[in-house]
Amino acid sequence: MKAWLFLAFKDLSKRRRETLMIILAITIGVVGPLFTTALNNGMQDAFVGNTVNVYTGHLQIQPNTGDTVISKSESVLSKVTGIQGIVGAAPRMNGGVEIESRTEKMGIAIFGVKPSLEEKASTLAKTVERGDFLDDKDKNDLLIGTSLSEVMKVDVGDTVLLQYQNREPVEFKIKGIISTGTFELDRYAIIGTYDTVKELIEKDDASNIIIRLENPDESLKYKLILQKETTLPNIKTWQELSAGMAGMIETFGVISTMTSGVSVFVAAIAISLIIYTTVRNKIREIGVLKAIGARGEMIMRIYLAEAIFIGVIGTSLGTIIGLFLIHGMQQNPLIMTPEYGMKLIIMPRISLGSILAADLSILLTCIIGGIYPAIIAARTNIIKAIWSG
Amino acid sequence: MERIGLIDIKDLRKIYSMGKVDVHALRGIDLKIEKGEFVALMGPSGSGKSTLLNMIGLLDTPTSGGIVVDGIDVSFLNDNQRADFRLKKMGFVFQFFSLLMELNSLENVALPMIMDERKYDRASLLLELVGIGDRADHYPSELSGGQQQRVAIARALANEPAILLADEPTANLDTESSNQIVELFRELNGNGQTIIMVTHEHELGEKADRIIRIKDGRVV
Repeated sequence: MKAWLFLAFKDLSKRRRETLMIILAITIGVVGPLFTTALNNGMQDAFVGNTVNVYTGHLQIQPNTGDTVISKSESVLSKVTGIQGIVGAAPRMNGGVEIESRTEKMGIAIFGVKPSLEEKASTLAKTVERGDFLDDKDKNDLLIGTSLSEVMKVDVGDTVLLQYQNREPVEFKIKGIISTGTFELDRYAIIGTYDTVKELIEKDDASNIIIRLENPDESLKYKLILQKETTLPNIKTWQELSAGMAGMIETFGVISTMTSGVSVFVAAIAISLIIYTTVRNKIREIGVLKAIGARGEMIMRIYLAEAIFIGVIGTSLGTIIGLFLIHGMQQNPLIMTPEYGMKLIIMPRISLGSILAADLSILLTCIIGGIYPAIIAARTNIIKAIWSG
Repeated sequence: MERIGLIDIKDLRKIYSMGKVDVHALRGIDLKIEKGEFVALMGPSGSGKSTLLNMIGLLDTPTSGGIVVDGIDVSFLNDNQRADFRLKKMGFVFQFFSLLMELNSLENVALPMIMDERKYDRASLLLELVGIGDRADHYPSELSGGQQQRVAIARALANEPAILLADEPTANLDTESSNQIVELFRELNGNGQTIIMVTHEHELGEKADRIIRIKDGRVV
């Protein structure tokens, strides 16, 4: 065994308690960034995933600039559904109405959907918590979000009145309570069948067409294909539609990364201080080592090896514990109800790249933290060192 | 027995700058020490004897003058060459007990051999030689001062050095331990080991082959 490795190992094992404490500090320094990154990814998946799956679709054909509807939407729809790689497409109609229950009254958005097409174009049908999903033949039946149902104090089977502008109020029955995990559909909108809504809000055609792809990552490619096939220019990808939300979550991510950065920095300072203190306390021993023939570079290697050893063990432990926690939470996802019972299922997720980035940055910080005291040790003047202490 | 020159010192000077004041620690030392000699450097405190020992041991560099050790002019060696020279040619015993606390006696003795990438089977033999073979797995904190100094001597002998340098090796020991250490030096010298020992104790100095007296940085 090389002398520097032998001495580093002996020094660390002699100072077992300090070594374990600093390893623990590094471990916590690793677990923090890994877990917050995974949680942030999970939150992004929950918000963006829910929004894309039930609200925006992977692609959305929108009316031409200046129009409020897509004219001849049926013809557009038939062109779209024939394209390979497109799982489903469904037209939707949006408008605003006033909803009145026995106790509450408020303005609300209303969506008209074609239930049979929605089953392929979105996961809306799977979000029913109580009651049933809509049927193409339904008239004056509604789906209402969990949050809104609590606000309106209504449940499955209850009736509400919907009024469009100054028209006569129309009675609707609550057929199902949905929990989509999106603010738009759980709190601020109700859903009826396409034809009923069309009649209620007096619109001529679809407000948009949502499209579900086999591979969501190919959204840009399909956007170009659809623009060519339909000659409609106003097609948005899910990335464009959820950019605002993704940006907001990314901001949270930046904040959590900065917080993690602070914990990494603290770990590096801790390593640096502990090794520096060790060097100061062992100055005479360093002098003796140099006197009996140790080169400066060997002394430097001892303390660098200690920093690397502590860094590697701390990082490995932190990664194992972090992944264990992430795995545990994947088995038991975090269910959050941020507002009026709107349900968000947060399942942490972390990529190999993120793990490597966190591990390498912490390891690098440990090494940098060890360099300064190692240099001090290497440059120690033999005579002064021997006569110190 | 014919003796071969081992150390040749010519006009060795060392000046320490203490702010605006220059302290002349060595003022032109000329000295020859032969192989197999046991030399005692003696003199009052501040006379320069430890400084001279540090120069011979390559722990410090002279301001001027030359030192030839074992045929090599060590004045021109760089830091790494000096470290290698100390490892292979010198053995040090200091006044304080200079063992590494995290290593046991055997490991302390083996250290120079590990540093020189040699086998360290001799370590236990050396501990036997200095009379503490039964303390091989004891840590310095478990040894008396005299025992620690014996381990330090065994460590100094690890790489079969040309010169054993001892700076007041008995200063922190009781009389009995001091006598034992000097007896050990005599035994080692009897086996051909060159020893240079700094001491201010006349009784110990008289056990050397030759006493070199230093005063005000000069040999007197």
